[in-house]
Amino acid sequence: MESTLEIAEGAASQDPDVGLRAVAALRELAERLEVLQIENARRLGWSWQEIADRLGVTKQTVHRKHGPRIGRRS
Amino acid sequence: MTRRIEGEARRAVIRAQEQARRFGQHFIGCEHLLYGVAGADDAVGGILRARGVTPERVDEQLAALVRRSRSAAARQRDLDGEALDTIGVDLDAVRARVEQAFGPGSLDRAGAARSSRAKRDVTGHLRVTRQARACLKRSIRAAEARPDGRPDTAELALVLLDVRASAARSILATLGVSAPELSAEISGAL
Repeated sequence: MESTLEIAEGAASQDPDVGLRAVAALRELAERLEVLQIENARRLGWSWQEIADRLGVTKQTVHRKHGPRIGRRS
Repeated sequence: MTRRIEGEARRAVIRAQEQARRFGQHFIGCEHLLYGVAGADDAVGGILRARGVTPERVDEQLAALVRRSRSAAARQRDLDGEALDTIGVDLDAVRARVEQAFGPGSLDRAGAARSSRAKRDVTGHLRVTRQARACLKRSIRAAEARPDGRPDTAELALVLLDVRASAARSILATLGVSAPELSAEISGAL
């Protein structure tokens, strides 16, 4: 387990190589969680509007991004 | 904009586009334009090739650029646990929870679903990068003084050689070519 100090050092890293890689990795992780959560929500019958509301984006945005892959509610 | 570019210069832009497409890239940058003028069937192309800026050598450097950016993309696809660790995110813990909810391998499957979306075929018109667009515009402006007012490969080559901090310039540097000397030679031949 890292100490709080060590974590804080990483998060506030002044080295752009470290900091930017962390941002990219976090973004990729968030995107994957989004894919899994939206697939699940659609499977459970959630509408694109309901999903968009929770994500804080417009229905168009979420549908354009995920609609082609996930398709209609089954 | 490219409608104002004709003849050999136009063919150079077309070669640039074909080359970008061959590498599966979605954009035309200065580096592709450099490839295009290096293959020009005229005096400017001849000067470039005589100085070692041949389509083959530029192609090698383009391939190296693509490899470098692909490995960055691959690192992202693999989910960089080490990078996440630097901000206090434990990827193993996240993976364990996600797989508990969505099944074994679900986090990797979500990554594959994302990258298959990015790997669409490169068809139609490619986007021209801001820098490459600026180069094309500058070459068009430079040609306004000419009788026909149409930029030739010379204007295009001179602009590409002049732009600082472009991928085209770093390719030239790797090839050991001095951009100012090459520019002087092309200007002298005009």
